Amino acid sequence: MIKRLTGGIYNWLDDRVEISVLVDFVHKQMTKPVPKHLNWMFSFGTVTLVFFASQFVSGLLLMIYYEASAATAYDSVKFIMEEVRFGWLIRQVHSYGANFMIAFLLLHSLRVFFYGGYKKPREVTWLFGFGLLGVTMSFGFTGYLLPWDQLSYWGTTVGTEIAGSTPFIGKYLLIVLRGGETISDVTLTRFFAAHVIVLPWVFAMLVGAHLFLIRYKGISTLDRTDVPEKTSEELLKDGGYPFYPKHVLKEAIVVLLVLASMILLIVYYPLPLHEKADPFNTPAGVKPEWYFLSMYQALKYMPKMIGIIGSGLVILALCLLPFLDRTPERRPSKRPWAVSLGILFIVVNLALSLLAKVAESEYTIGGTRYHFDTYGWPHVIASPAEDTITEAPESVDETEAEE
Amino acid sequence: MDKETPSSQEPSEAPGISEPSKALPEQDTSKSDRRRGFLQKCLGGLGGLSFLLAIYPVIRYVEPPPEAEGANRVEIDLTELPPGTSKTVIYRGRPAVVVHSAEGYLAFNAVCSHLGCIVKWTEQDKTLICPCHGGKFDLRGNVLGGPVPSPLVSIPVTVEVDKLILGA
Repeated sequence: MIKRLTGGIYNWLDDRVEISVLVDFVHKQMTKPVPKHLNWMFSFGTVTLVFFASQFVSGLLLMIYYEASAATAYDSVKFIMEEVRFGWLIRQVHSYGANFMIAFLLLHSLRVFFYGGYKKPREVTWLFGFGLLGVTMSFGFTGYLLPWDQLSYWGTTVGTEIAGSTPFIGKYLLIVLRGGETISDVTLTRFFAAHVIVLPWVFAMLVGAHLFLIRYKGISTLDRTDVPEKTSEELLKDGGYPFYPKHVLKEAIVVLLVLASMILLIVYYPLPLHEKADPFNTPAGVKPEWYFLSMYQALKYMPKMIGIIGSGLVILALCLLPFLDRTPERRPSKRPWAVSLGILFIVVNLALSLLAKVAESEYTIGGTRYHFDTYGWPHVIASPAEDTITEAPESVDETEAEE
Repeated sequence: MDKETPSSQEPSEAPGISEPSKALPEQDTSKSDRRRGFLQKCLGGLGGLSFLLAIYPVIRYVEPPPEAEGANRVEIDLTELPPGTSKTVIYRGRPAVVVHSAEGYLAFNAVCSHLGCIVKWTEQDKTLICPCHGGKFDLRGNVLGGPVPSPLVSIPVTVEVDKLILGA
């Protein structure tokens, strides 16, 4: 009965709008072979896309109650979290989702780097992907201010200050970003506009182009770039398999595991809403979000100008990677220099992020109390007291407690 | 869209999709198909259940929270309501008209039951009139005329010292 009904609807639609063309296209895409070397790490792009969809839906829902003005933003977020049914869940899904999305986008970029997926003929796919990374980080940066609490206000102050250090146009950039000298109602309005209108459109266009190119060129094999790309038949003969169901199943498992981890974090470690923003009271130890920490810390060790130019050059080099690295090998084992550089890049970024995390905080390690200065170097401030490593309360919380 | 020949991408020719069933005898094939159908139904059921679980918080979220439904108790200073006058206030999130008539203080849901316009007290006629389509109500809220389908709902009022209390 149901089969006959759906069949009837399908035929009716096919007679009028030739839906079979679309169905054939989707079928072709789903059964298109993928190379045999695809492993779990090839799911990171899909995980990112799932998080974008989740961000889109939870963001729409938040907009129902969120009021974008300095006077009302904080209270409206508090209202969502405390009064609206499941408001806490929607807000946490959005806040955690932003972090997960950026984390998986970075992991996806690393996977593409180590498997040489950016090489000919996929340079343009990499460029669109790099644009997506920039847009996603901009999403994080603009969204961070919207709750209008102390952490977001001062985190954004520091973040925009970094942008303001750009040579020649820094001052202008700072004023345009903030809509004035300081973070104010004007900043909130323009960040909100960028976050909910401008960036989603740019993201949608970039992701459309990126996905089209991935499907059009297919997922890269580990063959050298000077060897012709394999056809579908050759891929199948070489041990490749159709995208659906094997790879889709792998992706579904990863997506579900990651979503489950996020739900666990939401339940056991909900992200807090701090005190309402106070433009006249800077809390101690203000830091930007984790994905900006390494850059933020690097800028402490060198003159601002050199740091900004250096960071800019590294970002430019990453963007132009396919044009800088023209070697034909894709296999990680045959690219020792590239792989070593990649690992070094990861280690340096992790180390800088860790230093930034501990900087301007106090920790007890092995019974000795240390104060970590702004550069992340430890200074003993008290003799043995505790045996385990315990973290000092967050600087912002301390300020709040005092208040 | 790509350069591969379409025939190569048919699922029947792709290893891992239907090759195993090709190799099986006929009765095994039907058994395998039945099992596949059963698993597909289970998967569909699980997917549907997950969808319902995910959509439930969303539906509850978009419903207005209890606080948005408005106060259950509204206080009006009696000096604001001399004899023969009326006042419109928000009670439980909807407009309510309070009248100080010769019979005492009366309150009604001010939303006309016809098409939702707000009724007004007229002292001369001692009636509540809807300005949109001429609906007319007496001091009990009963319909006196016009295209109105049902009477106005009255709201309990009590006087406490110098205040009029609407609701509990």
